[in-house]
Amino acid sequence: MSVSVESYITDLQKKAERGELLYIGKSLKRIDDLEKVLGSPIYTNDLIPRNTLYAKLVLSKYPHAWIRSLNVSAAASHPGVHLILTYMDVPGINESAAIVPDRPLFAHEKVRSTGDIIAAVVAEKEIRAMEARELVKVEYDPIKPVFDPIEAMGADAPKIHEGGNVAKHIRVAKGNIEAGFNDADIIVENTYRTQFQDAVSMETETAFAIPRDGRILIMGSMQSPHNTQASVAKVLGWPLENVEVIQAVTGGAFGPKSDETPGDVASIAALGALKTGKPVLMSMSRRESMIAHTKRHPSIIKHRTGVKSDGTLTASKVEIYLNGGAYASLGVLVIVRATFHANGPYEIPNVLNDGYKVYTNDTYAGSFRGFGAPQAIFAAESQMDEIARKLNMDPLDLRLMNMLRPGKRTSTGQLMDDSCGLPECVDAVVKSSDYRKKASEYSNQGGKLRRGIGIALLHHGNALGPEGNDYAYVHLSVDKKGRVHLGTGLTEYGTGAISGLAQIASSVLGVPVEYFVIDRPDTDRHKESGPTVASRVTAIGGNASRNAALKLRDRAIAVASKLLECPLSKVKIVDGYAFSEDNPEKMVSWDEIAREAHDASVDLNVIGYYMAPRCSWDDSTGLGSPYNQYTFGAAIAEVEVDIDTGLFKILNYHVAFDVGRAINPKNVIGQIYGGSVQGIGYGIMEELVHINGQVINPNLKDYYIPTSMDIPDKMTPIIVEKQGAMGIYGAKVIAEPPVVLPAPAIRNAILNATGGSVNDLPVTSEKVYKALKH
Amino acid sequence: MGVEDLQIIMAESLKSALKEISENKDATIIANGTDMMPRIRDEGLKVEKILDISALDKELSYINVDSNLIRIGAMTTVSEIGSSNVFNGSLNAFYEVVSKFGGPQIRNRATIGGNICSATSSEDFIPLLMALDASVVLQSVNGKRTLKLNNFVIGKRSVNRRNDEIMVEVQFSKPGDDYLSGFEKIGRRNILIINLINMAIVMSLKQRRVNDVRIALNRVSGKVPGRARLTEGFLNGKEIDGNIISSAREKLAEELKLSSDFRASADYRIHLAQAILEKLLNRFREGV
Ligand SMILES: Cc1cc2nc3c(=O)[nH]c(=O)nc-3n(C[C@H](O)[C@H](O)[C@H](O)COP(=O)(O)OP(=O)(O)OC[C@H]3O[C@@H](n4cnc5c(N)ncnc54)[C@H](O)[C@@H]3O)c2cc1C
Repeated sequence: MSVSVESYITDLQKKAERGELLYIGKSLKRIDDLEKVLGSPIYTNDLIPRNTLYAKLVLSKYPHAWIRSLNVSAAASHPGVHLILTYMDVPGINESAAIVPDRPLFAHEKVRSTGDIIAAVVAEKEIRAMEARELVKVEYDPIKPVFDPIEAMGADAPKIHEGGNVAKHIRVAKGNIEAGFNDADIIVENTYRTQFQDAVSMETETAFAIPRDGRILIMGSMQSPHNTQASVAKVLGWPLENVEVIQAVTGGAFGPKSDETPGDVASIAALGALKTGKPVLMSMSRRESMIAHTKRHPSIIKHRTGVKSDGTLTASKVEIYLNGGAYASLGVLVIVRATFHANGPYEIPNVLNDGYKVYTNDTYAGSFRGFGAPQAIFAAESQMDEIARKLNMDPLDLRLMNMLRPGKRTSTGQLMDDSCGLPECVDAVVKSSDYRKKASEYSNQGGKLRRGIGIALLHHGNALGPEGNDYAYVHLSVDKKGRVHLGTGLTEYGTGAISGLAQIASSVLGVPVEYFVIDRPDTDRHKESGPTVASRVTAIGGNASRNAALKLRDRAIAVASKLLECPLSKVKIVDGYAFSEDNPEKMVSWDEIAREAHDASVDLNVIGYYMAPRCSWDDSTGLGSPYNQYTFGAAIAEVEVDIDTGLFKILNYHVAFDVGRAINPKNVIGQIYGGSVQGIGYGIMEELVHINGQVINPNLKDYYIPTSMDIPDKMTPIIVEKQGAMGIYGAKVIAEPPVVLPAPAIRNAILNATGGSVNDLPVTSEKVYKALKH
Repeated sequence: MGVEDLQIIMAESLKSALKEISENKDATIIANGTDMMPRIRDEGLKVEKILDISALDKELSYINVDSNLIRIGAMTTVSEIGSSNVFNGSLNAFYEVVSKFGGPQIRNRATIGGNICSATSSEDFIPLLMALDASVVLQSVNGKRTLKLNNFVIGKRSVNRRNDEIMVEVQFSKPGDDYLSGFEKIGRRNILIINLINMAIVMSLKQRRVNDVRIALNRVSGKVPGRARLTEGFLNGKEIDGNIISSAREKLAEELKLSSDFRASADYRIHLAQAILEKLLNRFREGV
């Protein structure tokens, strides 16, 4: 080919910007839309053959105790029971941990939370396993537990692990914090608290294992099959290659399915299957899932902010204490993201943030949509409104004065370039909500029903940044009928992101998305692509998909040029047909190209790879540019509060995100709606309640998520596009940021309506009522 | 013990159901199961033998008006109550219960008999029927007996049913045309809630003067539903105005003995009850 890949990419980029790429920026139908609506996908639990055995968990009764004795003989002789698995049955390493090796698969000697797995009962019927687990006898010697993260950091606090209760500390330090406070006219100090949130994916964690001639096949619900493969191999003491993991259709994930629980269920199913020689299903009930999987960390966040009387921020000191529960999980990375974003999207010359992920005896917390940002931004954005109140300033004006724009620097010292679309986002929601008019209307109200308007902003570092190597592979393989099989170790779990990868490849190839078939991710077939987390599929995987498609395109063009009898450089492929620029009348279809390639032994199987540029972060100085690019967002909520009862309604919610480029606008809007609703749940009702380490509402009767009756009558999502440097065609991430903004926006709207500050989530009517009557 | 080990007896008619229950006094009755099934599944309720009376809807699903007596068959569903026009006017509160009840699927299955017999503070028909001074009709092979609802529901998940009886009907006298009724409930979201508090009021109002007022809540003492007699006594004979309403609020707070749990504190529940009282009384006063 005469055109170099680089210049072709630049050309694609320009076309994308001019809106000339056929399949980019279009709300194409997702490839799996219809089957989702029909309920026809085959989920893990639909795959189960007749001779399958069922595993059920025995969980710890105590939040902190020595295991004095464990006796499974009564349970083992219960009718229908094949096997009781405990730590003694682990041939490899008894560990199911993501980063810090602190969590055994099966508790041994000690339990540290009521989510600890003591044993698993494997039986012919689920009911038999449930009966038998009551017969597993465990004697405990309780140890003094600790549930408050700050208390747990104390010198004489009960030790949960060897090596102290701080699982991770990270510091961001910029300028001179003391000088910053000296410059300030006033100092505002507040403490904010957030709660455990459960992800409540529709499908719980589940895995199905089949023994196969010295290997094991696992199908299950998960985000990152290669991580599951590694967990299982470690537990079995086997080489990776002997464990094949296929991600089954996955009914929602939201983060916990990238953490340690998918490894638990897969390892237990695998152990059971190997010991019995039969297929084993380990499928968590909702209760088991809500107790034993990772949730969003509760937090205590202390803010001390210095500000001049004109509103200029001079110093921000933030301490974040994440209650990690009993284990580190991916939480050691969650605290990093939380600490980077702790001051909100503002330029502040002097910053000192200390973030701690602390062990306690609650059930453990970990990865969850937003990854530390919801806690951090709730506190930061609440603090901005508290400052505005003290200064008697409009909260919007305070933000406009201090917020990030091109040329400004974040708390870690990262320079914002032209891709900082925060001003555009703010502008969009201020206009759409008629903020100025309403703010003045609401400043003077009487009566029982009071309205209020609240604002919240965010920046969100894209993809993994310092959390890991940010790479992906995409396989494209054309069969002789012309179908393009797209495979990757990245996974689809409800967002439509993998359809997006097909959309990107299709835009490069010039072949309609209808030709694409998405393969189930399979560790035997697809290269490890890093975890499917951090909203990174479109931005990172998109680049890999484009790179694969570029390779494939070269080969297809070679075939087409033979069929068309024209030079390579003249071949164009548009909408599934190839033609020569010089003679557009003569066409060959993609089907013909595929058939010819097959017959002429041209290999149309390619793998595309992409690794994002390394980010800079320096632990020793507490400064750096930890992310290649940022998503920006702004939200305005309007509420009506009954000041007699504290009951309130969210009247409307306007939210704008700078997503760089919307590869599929409908899917972007889908993420904004879904994330906002989950964020509203977090803001006003969701709370997994722990009392003395026991989860007291692990079911959907007592754990409330929003229904269609609880969301605002009017939600207005707005897309802003300021292309980023890294993502495909300038795309930025969008899956996580929407969950962040509702809580602070609603909280601030209630403050605006009533003058009452609710500093701990969820903002229930009772807390609003109590904030009013001091 | 779980669903697979159950012994299930399917009753085809009221007659056969009465016979079965007389021979299987240890059986648990299940109507449409919206309360029972979640308890068996999620709360580990142990049941060994079930008498399924869902087929009795043929006989026990009715809303009859016999002169002044309204009789509702135990198998009448919430949706059926919602689509009947018997409750227009002074019994409008029935529609308020229906419109705030579960979700559409639950309304289509939940029966009024099951609602009363569940006897928890989350059951919405109990306060309204208590405010109407309703009675339940219990039947066994030996005949029928009628019991005042407040003598039937005696505690949380505790009813005065003999183990060979089936509840066949709930009945009450239709209040006169000068009567008003209202129902309100508050929870932590808008539908599908376990309410923090609910309240039904039935009363006569002539020239602003309150008469024969009956106020019932899902919780009066602890988690047991009942009437707010003190507040009723205070309001009877008074002309409603702002002052009377605030005094009634005080009286109500005096007589409610509630407890806190993770959903809400006792004092907030009491405050909500006061707010509902005020809201309903204001509504009656303004005639809407
Ligand atoms: C999602 C959901 C939402 C709900 N929302 C509400 C709500 O908003 N308001 C509300 O009040 N309730 C609500 N409920 C509770 C439930 O739906 C009601 O209590 C319902 O009316 C029970 O009727 P059933 O026919 O399903 O009873 P079942 O579950 O079959 O039985 C309930 C109890 O009554 C006994 N019983 C039933 N019929 C008879 C009979 N004829 N004679 C003697 N004993 C009998 C049974 O033994 C059992 O103890 C909700 C339930 C669910 C699952």
